[in-house]
Amino acid sequence: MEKKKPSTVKNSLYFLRIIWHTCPSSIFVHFIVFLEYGMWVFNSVIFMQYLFGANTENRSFGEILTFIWFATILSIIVNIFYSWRWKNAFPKMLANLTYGLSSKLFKKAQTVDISCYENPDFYNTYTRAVGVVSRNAREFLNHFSVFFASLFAAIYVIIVMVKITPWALLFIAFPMVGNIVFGKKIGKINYDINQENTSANRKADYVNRVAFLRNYAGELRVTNIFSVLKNAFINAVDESVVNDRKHATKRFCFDMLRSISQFVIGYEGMWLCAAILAINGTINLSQLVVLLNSIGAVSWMLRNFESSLTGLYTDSLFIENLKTFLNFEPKIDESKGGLTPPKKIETIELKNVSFKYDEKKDYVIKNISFTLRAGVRHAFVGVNGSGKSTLVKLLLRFYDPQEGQILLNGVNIKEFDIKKYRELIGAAFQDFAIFSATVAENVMLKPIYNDDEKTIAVQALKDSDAYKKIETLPNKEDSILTREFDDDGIELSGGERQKIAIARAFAKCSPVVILDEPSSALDPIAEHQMFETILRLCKKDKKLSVIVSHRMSSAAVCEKIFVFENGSLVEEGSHKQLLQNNGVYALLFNKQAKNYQTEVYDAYEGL
Amino acid sequence: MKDYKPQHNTFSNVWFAFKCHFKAAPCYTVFTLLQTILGDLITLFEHVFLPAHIISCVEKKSPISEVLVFLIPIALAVILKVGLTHIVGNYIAPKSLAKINKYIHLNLYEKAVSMDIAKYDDSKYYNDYVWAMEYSTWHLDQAVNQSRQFISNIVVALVSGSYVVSVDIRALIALLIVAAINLTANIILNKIDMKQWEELMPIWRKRNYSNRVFYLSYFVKDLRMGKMNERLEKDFSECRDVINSTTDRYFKKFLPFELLNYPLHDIVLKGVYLSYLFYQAFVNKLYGFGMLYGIYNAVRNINDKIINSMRIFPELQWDSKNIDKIRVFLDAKNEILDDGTSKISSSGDIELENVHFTYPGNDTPTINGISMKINQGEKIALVGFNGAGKSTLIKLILRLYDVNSGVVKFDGRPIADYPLQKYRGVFSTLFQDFQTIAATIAQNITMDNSELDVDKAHNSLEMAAFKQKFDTLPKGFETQLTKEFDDNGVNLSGGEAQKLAVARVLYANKNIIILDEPSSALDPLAEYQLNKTVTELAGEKTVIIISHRLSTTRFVDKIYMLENGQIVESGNHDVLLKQNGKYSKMFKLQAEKYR
Repeated sequence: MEKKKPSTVKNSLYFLRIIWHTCPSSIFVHFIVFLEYGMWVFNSVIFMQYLFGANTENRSFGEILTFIWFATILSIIVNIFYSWRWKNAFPKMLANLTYGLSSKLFKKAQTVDISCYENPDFYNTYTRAVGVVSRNAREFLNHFSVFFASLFAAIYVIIVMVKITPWALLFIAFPMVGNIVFGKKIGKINYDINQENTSANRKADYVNRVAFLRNYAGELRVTNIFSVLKNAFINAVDESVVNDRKHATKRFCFDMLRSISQFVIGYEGMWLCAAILAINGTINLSQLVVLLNSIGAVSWMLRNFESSLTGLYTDSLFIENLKTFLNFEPKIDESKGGLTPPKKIETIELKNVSFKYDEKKDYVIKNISFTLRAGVRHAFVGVNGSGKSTLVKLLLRFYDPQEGQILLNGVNIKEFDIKKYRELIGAAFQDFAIFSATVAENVMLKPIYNDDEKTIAVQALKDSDAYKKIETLPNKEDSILTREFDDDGIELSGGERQKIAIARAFAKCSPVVILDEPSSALDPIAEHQMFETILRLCKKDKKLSVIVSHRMSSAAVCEKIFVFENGSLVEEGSHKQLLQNNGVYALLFNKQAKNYQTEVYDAYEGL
Repeated sequence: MKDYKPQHNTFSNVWFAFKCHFKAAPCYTVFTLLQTILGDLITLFEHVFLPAHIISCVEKKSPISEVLVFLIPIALAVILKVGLTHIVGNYIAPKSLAKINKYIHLNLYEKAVSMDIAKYDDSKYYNDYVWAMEYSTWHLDQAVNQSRQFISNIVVALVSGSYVVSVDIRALIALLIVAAINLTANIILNKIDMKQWEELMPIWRKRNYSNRVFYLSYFVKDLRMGKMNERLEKDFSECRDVINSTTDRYFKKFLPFELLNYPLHDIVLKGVYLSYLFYQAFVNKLYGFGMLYGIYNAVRNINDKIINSMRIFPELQWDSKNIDKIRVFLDAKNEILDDGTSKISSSGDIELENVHFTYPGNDTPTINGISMKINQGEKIALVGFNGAGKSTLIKLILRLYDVNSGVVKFDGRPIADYPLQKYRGVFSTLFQDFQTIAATIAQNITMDNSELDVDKAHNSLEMAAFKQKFDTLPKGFETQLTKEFDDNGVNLSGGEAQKLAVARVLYANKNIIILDEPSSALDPLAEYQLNKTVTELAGEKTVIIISHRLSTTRFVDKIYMLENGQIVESGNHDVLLKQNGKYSKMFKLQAEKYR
């Protein structure tokens, strides 16, 4: 994707508008920072000016006392207000802001193409923005409010100081210029060091993770691999020290210049100047105190101003990514309505379908045509990488093919309402996900409101051979899966999890069932049970089923088998026909079957 | 998440953090402490006493030289301060911090790698002590930094305190009142805060989970196929409501102490004390404005240091909790004792005598009285349903766990007689959940730092059917695997990774080979190749293989059929088939589809 330099002003306004529409209170809460800066100016300038002007202005003790107590009461009120802000308004605002922004993005996330998740470039830059939006919004609002508050406060203090003596400008400007000029150089050096350390840091992080991750525990104990990782860690740490050392002298010089211009010239210089003026009698005592106090305040205000400005620049990069995500126009628009698909499915037909994931890459599906029929069990077979799983994604309309069409009962599936179309298909994926929800909800893939739905879920669990295990759990099908946020949650084994995924396909009671590599973690009995269920559903309910597998036994029981190689359909037919063809299928089958066939033959002979 | 109960007190944990730093970088640790104190003292003189002196000079109409007498030394001290800071920051800190970093992490890694694997099964223990180590180390540094600041605060407060006392003892009284009230209020406020935090923690976890589900690619397909989003969105909005109502509820608890805290502090320090000071200066003419400025700001400075120190407290408590986990982790005793001294031979018979084993925290035994003898050079298979105990048996043989009763023997002696690492070194194992390491292919084959024997490696890759893929990789053995820290790294598919893992086992060339589900992700051609390889692993090697695919296991010398942690049938394939029992049934179920 081509990147233009984003406009900070435009992006800030864009984000502000979104925040305004989702959670306007968050803007108000952040702008309380104006009060903070106001009090700062009051305490360090006005308060001091008044008290230490008592002599020159001939104030009575009574007047001073009144002013002190006025300031005290003001401070009390403001502090109570702050308590409310930090302990009540702010946390609530955060909850609402997170809710508002994230909900908006969730909605969008559900309509973008699956490719937004599967294409790493797009995913890492844009989709991940969804996860961090509320944190970034908070930072942005912080920068935005501080930007204005510190600017106004600094301008006020500068005017007060310059009115006393124009020399003040010198001691304000010099540290500021020094800070900007040297700060920029230091920033550049730090950025360079950071860049140079990227790979070292990633290595160290990786070793750190692997050392404590459960999955690696076995291998770390029975092999010597940890010595490799340990060396990698030590090297990574040493490497970053070396990188840092290369820049040390240069950075030291700039650090010194910046600090001296800021502290020695800024503070001591201003104070000396003020002392000379006061001793000369050019300024009076209260003006002296104002100058002594203000230089500290104004230098901090300017520093905050500068860092909020830098912050806004950084935020702008994030906002640009967010904007791209929110404005992303999906190729497959899930919110666009369409025809309601028929309840009864006769055929699904692929006509000259070709597909590639990326325009620049090669076709992974090459001119494939075939027909799937209701009441028939179909199998997709082929070696790893032959295009089987991609075909499943096309059938589910996760992607649309570049060429050719997919027809349901003769109608292009693009014509249908996509949500209703997917309701026709019960699917179990190779890389299925288990949600942190009850077993029944995991099977139904939706919140469960009544017992009927639960009965369906339980039946599906029985069909996939999972219920034997689920039955033994204290809360049975109402048990929460995973320990994500429930410490009593259930962690199932790989085989059990796979059975739950298969149950999903059955529970949907849909006319089409697609199982992608359903049996890799199943024992033979569970596998058998699964095939029995599919057979029953196909025969009795006239369902259309597709099994993707590289276990040839899974294919052999299906009526119609499609064999793929490098994205092309190379053979199709029944098991018998294909064996007679003596082609790719026969080769694969015989390799796997050899051991079984001779044995069964022997076994029967033995009987 | 339940509240974590620390085993050591905060002071002891902070002391531990200091000790860690001191051991790794003694000079640096002491020096930074002194440097912080010196720096803060210079700041005190610069910002409190110097302006006060200037005001006094102006009041007295002294010549400018009197200002300079104070100002020039301060300016030099400030230069010294920033100079020290930047010298340490640029030349000393990076090296010393790296030393500390290495010291802490390598200690933790050593411990993690030698810890009983059983500790990983206890999910609570794992999350609290093992996984927590990934980020807890940060708290060691934090505790040192925080307490360094704390010490410096006390020193500075003492210095400005003695100045104030030398002028006016009454200031100290005002200050002590404020400090006492602030301290009490803050302790209570912290407690309430902690409670609220604990109450909200599970809500945040839930909210973060929903958030994650919507952007992680892992969930997207299943999300699109159902209506799980409805539930997640409902949870998400409930979380918001709970956070709002909890915040309101706790605000009522906070409010009285909040009211006590700052407003009282304002009344005493700003109202009463300042009125008093002006009374002394104005009516009693005790001090001039310079003095007034000095005293008032010194008192404020003490007060700031007290408030700052009080903020450090809850943070130190927080760090302490995490440091506590590190200490418990490091102190944990292994139940598998590594005190064997017998010399071990590279090969021998493996014998299990009436072995029982129950996973910690489980009620039902996973292995329930198994006896078997695997002779040197024998090839055996473990078969059975999911959960029959096959993988557990392997873990017992490898001594990843110790048996509850019975004994596992190698070469005639109980395996506890051998040094643990040497004993495990006899085996070469392919785990069911084997991992591809983010390193070169060479390192993924050798699994240590030794030089790769290229001929042997080529041979292993050939036998594991990985050769074809390997030949497409331009960098050959130096190819970096995974994109973990190299964007040009190669991600292997499930099948390819499994083939590489098989090659790893073959390359190790140990006399005993264990294969747990070696062909689950392989396509038929690769599986055929694997079967061939296993049968060709000639005479002298012992092979233990676990598989659901009975075609893989049929050529072995002896098959053990496991059910509920017991051996229900054993014998070679032909014998078991003739027995017509469970194995035979299972085999026919699979085989009939290949007829």
